[in-house]
Amino acid sequence: MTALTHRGLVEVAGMIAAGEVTSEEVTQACLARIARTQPVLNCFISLEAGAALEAARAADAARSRGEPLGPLHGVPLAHKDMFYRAGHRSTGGSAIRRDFVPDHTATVMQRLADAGALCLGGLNMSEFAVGPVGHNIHHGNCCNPWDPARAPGGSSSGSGAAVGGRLIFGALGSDTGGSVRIPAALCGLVGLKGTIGRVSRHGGMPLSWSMDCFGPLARTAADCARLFGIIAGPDPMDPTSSDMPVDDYEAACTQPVTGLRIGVDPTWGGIDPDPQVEQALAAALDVFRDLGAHVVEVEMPDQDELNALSNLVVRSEAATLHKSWLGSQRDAYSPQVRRRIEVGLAVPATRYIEGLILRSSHLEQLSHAVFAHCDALILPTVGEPAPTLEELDVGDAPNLPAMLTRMTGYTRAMNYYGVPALSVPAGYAANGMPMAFQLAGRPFSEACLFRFAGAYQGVTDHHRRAPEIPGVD
Amino acid sequence: MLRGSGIAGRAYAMSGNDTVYDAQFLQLLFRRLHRRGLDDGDAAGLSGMVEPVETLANRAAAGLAFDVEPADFLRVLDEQARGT
Repeated sequence: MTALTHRGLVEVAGMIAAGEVTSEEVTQACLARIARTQPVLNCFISLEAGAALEAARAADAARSRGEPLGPLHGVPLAHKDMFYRAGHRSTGGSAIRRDFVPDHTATVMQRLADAGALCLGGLNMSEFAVGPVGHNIHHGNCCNPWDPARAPGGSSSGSGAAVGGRLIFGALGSDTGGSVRIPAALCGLVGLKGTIGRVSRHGGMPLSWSMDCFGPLARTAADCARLFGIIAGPDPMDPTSSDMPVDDYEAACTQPVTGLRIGVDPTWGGIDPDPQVEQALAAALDVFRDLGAHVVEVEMPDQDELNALSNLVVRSEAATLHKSWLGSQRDAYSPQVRRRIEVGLAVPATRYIEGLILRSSHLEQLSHAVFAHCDALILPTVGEPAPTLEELDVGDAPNLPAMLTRMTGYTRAMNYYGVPALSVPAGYAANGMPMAFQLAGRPFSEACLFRFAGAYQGVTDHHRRAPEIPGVD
Repeated sequence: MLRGSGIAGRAYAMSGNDTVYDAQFLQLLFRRLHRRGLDDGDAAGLSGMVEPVETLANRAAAGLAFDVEPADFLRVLDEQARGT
C-alpha cells in the first residue's frame, strides 16, 4: 500500500475531503518523514509542527461540521522561506534577515490558506534567492533526495528537495532565472514559472522586479495545475499583476494534444546538452508524436545575448535592493552571492534601460521565429543530470560565470521574454538522477503547457518513481 | 591629468584595449561612485562577471530604436496573449 506521504497532492486532497483520512493523520505522516529526512536533506529552515497539527485538527473539525471545503483543505505544504506570513519569521535564506518577522502576508500565502492548505514552515533556499545549486553557508546546504551528495538545484532548493523527497505535497518557489524549474528538474518534479504578472508578487521577497515570478513545484502536472490555479490571477496589492482571465489548468491536464504543434530547435539555442538529456528529449518528442501532436523544427534566437540582457536587468535591480546592506553588512553575504549582486553596482543606468527596452523586440522575434510555428517549444530545463554539490561549489572563483551558464543556460531567457515555462520529468540518467524537459509557450498560455504535460504524464510513469533516501527509506 | 588616475587616464589607456570593466576601472568606480574600496581579488572577480555581459549587451543594443520604451514590453505581451 502506498504511504500517505507518497500520494499526490490532488489525491490526498480528495482523500481528506472524502473522509478517507484525516488532515491530522496526513500531517503527522509528513512531520514524521520530515524528522527522519532533515539530518540528510536539510530541507527546512523553520518547522512549525505544533501549529501545523493544530491547524490540521481545526481542518478536520471544520469538515466534520460540514463546512465548505477548499481545494486544498487540510493538505500540508511548505514554501521557500521568502513568502511573508504576518508574525512568522522569513529569512530569505540569509543571515541578514535571520530574525526578520514581516507584519503582512503574501497574497500567494493567503490564497493557499484560503484554499485550506496548511503551512508546515519555511524551506531552505539559496541566500536571497541567488544561486542555482542549493548551497547555503548560513543555513546549511540543501541536498537532493535522489542522491544527497548531488545538487537539488536552486534557488528554491528546499522546495524541490522537500516535494521530491515526499516530505510535503507541494511548495511554492520563486523563479528569476530558473529557480523553480531547475530544482523541479533536478528533483524529478513538475515546476512552473508562469507569465510575468500572472501571479501576484505582493509579500514575497524581491530579487528583480522585472523578472521575478512565483510558481509551484509538485509531483504531477495535475498537482502543479491545482496550485497554480489557486495562486494565479489579479491582485489589487500588486499593480504589476495581470487581469487576464485565469484558465482551468487542471482541466487542461486532461485534454488531448492531437493536432497541437510542438517546436524543437535541433541546436537547442546553441547550447549542447548532455547526450542522455538529449536522448530523453528525443524520446519525449516520440511520445508527443504518438499522442497526435506535430513536431516542427524552429530556430531559437541567440541565447547568449538574451542571457546577458537578463543578467543586466536582474543584477541592476538586485544591486539597487541590496545597495544599503552591501555597504553596511558586506561580510554578512556569502562571497558568491555578494559577487553576483555587487556586479549590478557597475552597470550604468543607460545599459539597464537598454536591457528593459530590448525586451519587447526580443519577445516579438521569439514570436515570429518560434510561436508563429508551434504552440509550445521544447528544450532542456538543465542540460545534465544533477552534478554534485561539491563540483558546483565554486564560490566566487573565476569559473563562476561558466557554472551559472551550465545551470541556467536554458532557463534564464524565458524570464527575460516573460513567457511561461513548465519543467516536466523526462526520465532518469544512468546514475539514477532525474532529467527533465522544459515547455515554453506564448504569454498566458499556461493551460496549453499543462495540456502537453498532462498528456505526457498520462502515458509515461517518470513522475511516479520516488527516491529512496539513504538512512530513511 | 592623463598620466594620473581617473577617467581621463583610463580612457587614454584604453586606446589599444577594448576592455571596459577591468579591475582598475572597477576599483575606481566603486571608490568614486559607491564610496568604498574593492580589494584586487574582488575587482578582478567582478571584472570577469561584468565584462562578457557588457560585450554581449553592447552587441544587442546596436540599432536600438528611438521610439521604444520599456512599457512596450507589456503591450507586446498583451498582444501576443490575445493573438493580435
